[in-house]
Amino acid sequence: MNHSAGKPVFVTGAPRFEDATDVPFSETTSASTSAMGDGRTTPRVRFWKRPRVWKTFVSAWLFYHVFGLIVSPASISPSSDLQRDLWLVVGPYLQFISMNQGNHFFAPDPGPSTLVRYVARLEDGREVTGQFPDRRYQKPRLLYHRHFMLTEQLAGLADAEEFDEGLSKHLLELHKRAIARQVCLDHGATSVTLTRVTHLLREPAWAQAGMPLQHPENYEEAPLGQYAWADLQR
Amino acid sequence: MRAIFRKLVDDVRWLAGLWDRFWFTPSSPAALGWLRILAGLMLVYTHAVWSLRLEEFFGPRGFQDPELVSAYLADSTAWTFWFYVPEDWLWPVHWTCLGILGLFTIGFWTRLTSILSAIITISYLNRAPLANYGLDQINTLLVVYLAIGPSGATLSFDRWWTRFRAARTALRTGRQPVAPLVPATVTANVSLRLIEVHMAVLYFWAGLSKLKGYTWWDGTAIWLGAANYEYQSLSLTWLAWYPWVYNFLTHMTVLWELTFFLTVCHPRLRPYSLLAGASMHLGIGAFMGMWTFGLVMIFTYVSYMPATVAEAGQRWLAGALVGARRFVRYDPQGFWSRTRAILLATVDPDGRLWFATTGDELPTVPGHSVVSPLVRANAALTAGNRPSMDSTTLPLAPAAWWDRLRSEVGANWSLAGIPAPAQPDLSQNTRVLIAGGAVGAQVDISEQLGALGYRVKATPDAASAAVLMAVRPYHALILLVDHADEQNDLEFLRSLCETGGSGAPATVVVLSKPRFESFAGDARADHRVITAPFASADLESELALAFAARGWAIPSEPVLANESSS
Repeated sequence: MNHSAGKPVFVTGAPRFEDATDVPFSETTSASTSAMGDGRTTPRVRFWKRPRVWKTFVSAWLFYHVFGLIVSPASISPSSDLQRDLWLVVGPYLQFISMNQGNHFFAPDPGPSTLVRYVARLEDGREVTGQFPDRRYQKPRLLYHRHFMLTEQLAGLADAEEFDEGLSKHLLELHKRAIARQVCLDHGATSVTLTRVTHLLREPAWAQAGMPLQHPENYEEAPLGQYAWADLQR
Repeated sequence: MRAIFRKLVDDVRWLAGLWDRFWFTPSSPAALGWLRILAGLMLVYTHAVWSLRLEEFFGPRGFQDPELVSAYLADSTAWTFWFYVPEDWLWPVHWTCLGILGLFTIGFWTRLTSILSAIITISYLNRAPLANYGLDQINTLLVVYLAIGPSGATLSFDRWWTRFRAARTALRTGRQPVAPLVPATVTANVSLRLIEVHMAVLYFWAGLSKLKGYTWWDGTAIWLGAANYEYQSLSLTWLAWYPWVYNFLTHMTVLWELTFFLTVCHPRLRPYSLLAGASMHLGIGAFMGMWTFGLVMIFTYVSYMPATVAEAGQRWLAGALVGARRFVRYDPQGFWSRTRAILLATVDPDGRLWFATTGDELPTVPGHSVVSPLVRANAALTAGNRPSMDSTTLPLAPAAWWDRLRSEVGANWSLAGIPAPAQPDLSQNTRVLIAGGAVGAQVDISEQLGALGYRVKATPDAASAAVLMAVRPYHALILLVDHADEQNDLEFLRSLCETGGSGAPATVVVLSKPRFESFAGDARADHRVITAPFASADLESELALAFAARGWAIPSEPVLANESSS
């Protein structure tokens, strides 16, 4: 092939990235004599380093990953059989990498808050009262939210219990016992009584009437149970 | 039928090409550096707060006792190393984890610490699953995706250590330190793309799930959020008197979330979309007390940042660290003097400092009042001191151009040690050198011209380009002008090429913004100027015109040629 010196010639082949545009999984790893027998060297590329090969594998993973991110929130109730079956395909993988996120922020509707009030009885007969969460004692705000999530999860389990007598009921009982045990540990109490408190949300008219959000009428109470320290240690 | 099939095949190929460009175009890791710092700080804070109640949440008898957590995670593939940590080791393991997260934040052994940080974050998340919320989800996605890409390639201890070693070696022998380049990589792009896609999916579902609710339709959802006393940190009850405000905010929230994946894709709409998102999250932080969640959501927006902005941020940081461009005198034999110079060179990622040994006559460039990186680059060509570029050989440069380069900028230095120039063999490829500009733009142009068969080499600045031109022949030089700081150097390089005769490369100046039109140097037949925005074909045309002006024929069809290894 003749080329005139000094004249540009187009050469076929993939774009070459040199220096600043170093691409990982570079093509050339070693050289071998060309099969054409003309003495020229041609790059020998290991199978798994060929762009088409690794791109295929990476693309398959990317597709599965993104597909999982897209379909997994659909499995949250209400959902179809198809949506729940798709969860079976992607759920274990997403759980493993902790990306099984529902993404239902403040949905379907912003709901009331749940608090847990407790009365802890000490050995000398005195009683200590308190609640979770309590922004006076749980600082910084992130720690307050950690406690808040505990009570919100408890509410979620309690509400789910109405529909599911199995796992949710078992989890709810374990959760209540865990809270009761921690209260006993905090105060050195011999027994504790837990109460679920739901802080209802009010319409704008409530505020327009000059009523505070913390008005006693806005709180609904439901007993969660009484736990003795001796039982909680089992 | 065949036409339909062909159309289908074409469309599938088009889609495959789109997929390939979206995921596998190498990207600058500059944004990953910023993301690592921001996410790392949030991770350290999030996990440090656990220290205040570690036994309560991670102990065997706390809120999250192992029996409860095991039951909660039953039939799940979720895992945590905390189940294997004995009670006595609770605190030592916790402090170790905090230390690793701290090392990840500063970019120390980032390849290792990024993976360990992902393991730590997931383990904490699964050990206290009943105390998690959105913050932990975003922390997890960030740290997992940052473990994929080279998040320690910039703004990191690792980077400083690389620069420190290069500076130490160079300054010991009186040479100028040359910063190793930060390559654009596919993994950086995959990391950033995964964050972008994940956030788009997250917002879409956040919007879609709200459509299941009644209050997001009747416009009172924002009021209910504001009226939630347990979340409230600033009172918003005054909203009760302005229903149209909370109605509007409610509907806009749903609309914005549902359309985020579309608006963020459009470069023109993206800043507004992100601004709206940032406002919403700052509002959540200010009024609902969830500052950590609000901030970490905003941190993810860095992934949508153009590489030029991330790199400009680095330049700004460099300016804040080392100040203006200047000479730094040092004594190569003096330990303290040399150490100071090495440390300055280490924290000078922008090449602002020129190091001169005591007693050296300070070099100057006619017409340039500031120290130019170009001067430094040419100084690296002094006797026997080859610039620390990647060349393993010293190819020959055109005699006329070499003489010109030497007479103009190398007058103060000896060029002994560089082989005598001879007529190069330019028959094999058309070699194009890119100088300056953002890595993203360099990659785009490299790909575009590479696909046409050009051999393209990209350099970060005029200095590196000058070095390469001095040791290798190039047919054309593309000067990407997108930053005022670089303009002087690129102008200087352009003027050299203009007066360099036929041995010098043809040039195409690419002005990224009209404000750079003050760029010195008139458009000529073989020295072209093009201003953005322009079509990709325009750049090819300008290059072809410049070659034509040199009398170099442009083949109408690509010529098949087997390229021998050089």
